[in-house]
Amino acid sequence: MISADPGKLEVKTKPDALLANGILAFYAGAFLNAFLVIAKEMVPPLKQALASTFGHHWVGHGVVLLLLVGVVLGVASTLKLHERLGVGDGCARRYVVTGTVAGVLMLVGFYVVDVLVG
Amino acid sequence: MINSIPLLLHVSFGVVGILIALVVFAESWFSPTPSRRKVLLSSGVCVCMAGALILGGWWYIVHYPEGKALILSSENAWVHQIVMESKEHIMFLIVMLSLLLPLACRDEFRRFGTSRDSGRGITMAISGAIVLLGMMMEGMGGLISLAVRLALQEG
Repeated sequence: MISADPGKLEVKTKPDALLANGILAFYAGAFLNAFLVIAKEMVPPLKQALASTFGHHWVGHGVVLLLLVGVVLGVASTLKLHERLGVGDGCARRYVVTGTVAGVLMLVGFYVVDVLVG
Repeated sequence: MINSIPLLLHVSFGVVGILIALVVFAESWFSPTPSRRKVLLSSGVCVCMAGALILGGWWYIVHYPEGKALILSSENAWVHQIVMESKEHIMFLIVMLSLLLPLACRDEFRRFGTSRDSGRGITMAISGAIVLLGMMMEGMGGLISLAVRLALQEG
């Protein structure tokens, strides 16, 4: 049974390295996801290359994104980016929220503009 | 009928994943103590979202082209051009968040007793984002189904 009185606790701790760097990788991944979508739509040969390599461009998108996020996570862990950026609780929460909101807005915004402008 | 089973499972995995993420969010909100149940539930979110991704992806590649052609030939072509195109890529955000959730729940144990909130705010941010994005995906899926039905009625 775990017990403690949260009211008396004063020590501030930070998320562990894997979680903090994972959140940084997610943040980068949200933008990379959108950039990859825009690149695929603006450069048709890229979309075709993904489709011919992986059978379908969506599968290729997922694999490339997974690899990119893995690379970001590896680089962030090696460089201890979470320490350099001082990723604490509030900062980690902001990365999650802004990454999610920005990732969705960029994707939906791009497709809306693409349809409206043609 | 047999073809629709993977689609029904895709939706079911998504809904169950959202509900479990909601339980994780609520438990983090109301209880400051970490729990093994929450770690287990967050792993369940991972499994459900992975299942939704795989089944939905399979459906999208194998069966959706027929629906896509119907929607694009109807007056609701924007449903594919905006809603489906966004949905298939937003799913990757949910999967990434689902992978982070068990890490956040596990990290609460390390920090409990040394910090005021034991990092449960991070768990709440991640699980809340999964719930909101998941609900958005369900709405988008409903819109795509409606567009196919309307296209069939038009034709």
